[in-house]
Amino acid sequence: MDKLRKIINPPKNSKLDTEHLKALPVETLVMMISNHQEILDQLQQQQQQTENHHQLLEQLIQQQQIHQQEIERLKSIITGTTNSSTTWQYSSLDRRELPLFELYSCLQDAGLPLGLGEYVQVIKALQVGFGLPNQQGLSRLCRALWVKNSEEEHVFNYHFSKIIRVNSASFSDIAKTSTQQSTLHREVAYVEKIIAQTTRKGLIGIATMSIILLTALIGLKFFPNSQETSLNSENSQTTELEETGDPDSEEFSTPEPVNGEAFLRPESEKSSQPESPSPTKPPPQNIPQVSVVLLSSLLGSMLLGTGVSWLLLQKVTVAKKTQPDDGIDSGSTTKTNISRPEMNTIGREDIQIAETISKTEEQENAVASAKALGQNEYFPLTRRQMKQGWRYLRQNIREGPKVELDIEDTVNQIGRQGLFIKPVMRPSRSNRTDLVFLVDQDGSMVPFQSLTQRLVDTAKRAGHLANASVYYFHNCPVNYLYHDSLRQEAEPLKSFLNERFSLRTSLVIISDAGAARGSVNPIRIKKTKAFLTQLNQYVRYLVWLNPLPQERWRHTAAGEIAKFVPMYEVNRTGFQRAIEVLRGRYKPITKRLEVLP
Amino acid sequence: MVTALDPELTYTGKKQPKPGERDTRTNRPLFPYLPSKDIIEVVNLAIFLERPLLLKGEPGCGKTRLAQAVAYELNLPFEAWYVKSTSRAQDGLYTYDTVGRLRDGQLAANKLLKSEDLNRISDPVTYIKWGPLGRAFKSERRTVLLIDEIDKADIDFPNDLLLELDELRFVVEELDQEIEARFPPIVFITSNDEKDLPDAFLRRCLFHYIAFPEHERLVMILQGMFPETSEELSNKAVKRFLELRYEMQKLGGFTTKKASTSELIDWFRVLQRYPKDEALSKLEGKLPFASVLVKSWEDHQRYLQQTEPDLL
Repeated sequence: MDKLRKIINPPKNSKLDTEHLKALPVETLVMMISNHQEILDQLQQQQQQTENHHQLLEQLIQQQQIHQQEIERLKSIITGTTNSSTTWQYSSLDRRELPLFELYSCLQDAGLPLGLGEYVQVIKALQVGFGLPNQQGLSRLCRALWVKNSEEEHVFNYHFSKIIRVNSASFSDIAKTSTQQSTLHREVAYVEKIIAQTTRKGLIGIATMSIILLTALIGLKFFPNSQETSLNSENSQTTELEETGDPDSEEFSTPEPVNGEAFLRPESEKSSQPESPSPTKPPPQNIPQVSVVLLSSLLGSMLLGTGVSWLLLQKVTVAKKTQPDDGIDSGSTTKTNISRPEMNTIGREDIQIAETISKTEEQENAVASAKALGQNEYFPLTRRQMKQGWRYLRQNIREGPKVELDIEDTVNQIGRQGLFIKPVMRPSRSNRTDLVFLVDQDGSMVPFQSLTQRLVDTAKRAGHLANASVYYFHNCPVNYLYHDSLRQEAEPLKSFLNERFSLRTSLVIISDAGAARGSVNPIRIKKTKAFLTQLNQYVRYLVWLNPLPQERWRHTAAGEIAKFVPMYEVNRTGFQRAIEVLRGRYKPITKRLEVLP
Repeated sequence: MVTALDPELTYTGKKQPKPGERDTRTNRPLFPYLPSKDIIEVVNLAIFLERPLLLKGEPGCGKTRLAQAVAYELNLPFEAWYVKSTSRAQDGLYTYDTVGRLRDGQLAANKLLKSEDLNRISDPVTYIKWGPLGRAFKSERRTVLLIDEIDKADIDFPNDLLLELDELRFVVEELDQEIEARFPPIVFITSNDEKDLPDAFLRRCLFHYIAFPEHERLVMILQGMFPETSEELSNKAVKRFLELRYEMQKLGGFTTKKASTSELIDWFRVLQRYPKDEALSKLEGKLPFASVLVKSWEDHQRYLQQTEPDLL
């Protein structure tokens, strides 16, 4: 750098005058030229280097700008505005500024099985250009990568709308794209539209007919009277007409073209009225006046009645139309208030919401299932734990006739014997678990209905067992067991014992055993004991699951019953112990005798 | 790290086979497949992220045919693995013909084999038969692999495929060799949702639920499959079909089997054989050819008796 500076700023004394230069010989002049030339070359080189540096600098600046723009763009997508009004302070990329991280962590907390790989994949896809144009696209992208069934879809929609801070209108737009719900609603909406159209047409027809009749009546009324009534009565009548005319204009404003014509007729009547009776001066006749007044008031009230009922009908059809349509704005939600209480109870049942035809709003569904899926504290066992427990019961054992070729053993035998005489056969594997649930229904078990339902459901669907059947009883099964939860299809206990239960059956009784009632009921204990002794002879393994925690069994019938049947509460350890019993490893806990005095 | 979308491997759903075109391998006629925009997007996402795509939907909505359509458009080799209840994951990778080897060993011991065969039998590779997944991994290009109806198989089946789908490699024990996929296959997995799939498996897949198409799309599908028919007939048939579907849903609930797209296509195939006016008049009255659409005795009684009072 010093050399450079010396070259750029040469010392002053080396500069010679042209006079002195002319005196110098040619060689020195040539040498001076070459010196200057060298310096010039060096300067040019330096110039080029700095130019390269400049270019690099420009490129770096450009890259920075590009990345900055990307971050801005992603953030603007998240906030939903192209010019984000919020100020983002970012000196270094903080965890909070990572795109979609909030949504991702929310979903993780809600119970969706998401790993870091899934988040990275979404970012990768975003970088390339998926999910960009609007929120629906982004929602679709996240759903494809993070949501694996319909329950998770509800949860996802709920959290997505909350975090991406949209108003309720576009929430339902996003929910609209969620396919499983929208297919049902779309189809229903399409056909209901057709129905609504036809009913509206019918209503319009009725309305026009009634208008025509009324105007005809009024006309008939007034033409014979016009010769008799005085100006006073005319005025009163015209005012009456105006009164009846105004409700007309209010009620029948919407089907306009038809009404326009009908409306013109009373107008023309009115206009013709003042002209025709004016030349005549009829004597006042009170009695027909009164009757006319009565009749016109009657007609007016009839008109009002039909108009109001027609409006109500319209409202109902509009409500029916907008209900399945999901593209509802907050204004029209008030219209669906009529059937809301029923919807709530349907929506808050177990997560098989997709299977019920519920015309609930997406939000209701999402909130209910978000709570149920996210807060695992609501159920003492998570669905996953239940599934894993039931799967543990699978016995894929080799049983029966030997039909399969056991290759390894054959080869080993050949190795031992030196000759291949006969192949070694083995029986084939089969899934042979037979799981039977006996569920106590109604009464004290009402608060635990969803828990029992979930236990049975996971065993049936996700347990991959050969057979998982459910039968119901109330408090204590004496003579009959029921096939359905409403306890209407009865079957005698004896037929169960003889035909249904085999020595392969594992039986699970889910009942509070009187613990919920809190008292010792000796009759119940006796009956249950008799039932259990009978069962034990017919069934392989027997276990009792009690939805109430163990502390609540003391001093109740459950405590007594627990003495002669393995009874466990429905939490992780209890459930695991129950599964152990069902696999044949029953270890009576000596501690239990200490708990119950 | 940021790689752009490969334009050659982008599925647009626009390239359709011409009428009369046949599949080169199986010689069966090919029909156009008209996917919705959601499906196109998610297929491209799966191709880009190199993850399997899990498809669920009503039976007959076109899950299996999507994979074939993608293979046709992108002009890639197509491998199909139709899973049965007895399928094992190992069979999809490779099968080792132990019995054949034993037989050859016996023949060689009894000196019944020719000398050139002796070289062959000493190499265990001759007894390895590659399954669909194995072939997809060994191929020289990205293959489209379809694993059809994965929920039919036992629960161990998807669990056994985790390493193969995740890291795209498997070990052949008999050869003591590791086969790794040079070009990651595009995997489509279909499920009928009869049984739950394990979470570890679901985590590795993308998920899409194929919705039942709307009126316009159904008409497009019919026009694509039967180009000579009039649009009026297609419209009317689709309208009638959707009404039937609505009835089925209303009366039976969300979970009953409703008439699906493939049934509509079969029904329409019969209908379009008639001259246009006759077909239109048939659609006015009782549901024609109901046996194609209505599959249970209850439904039969319900719908065939319901339509008659409408003739006013």
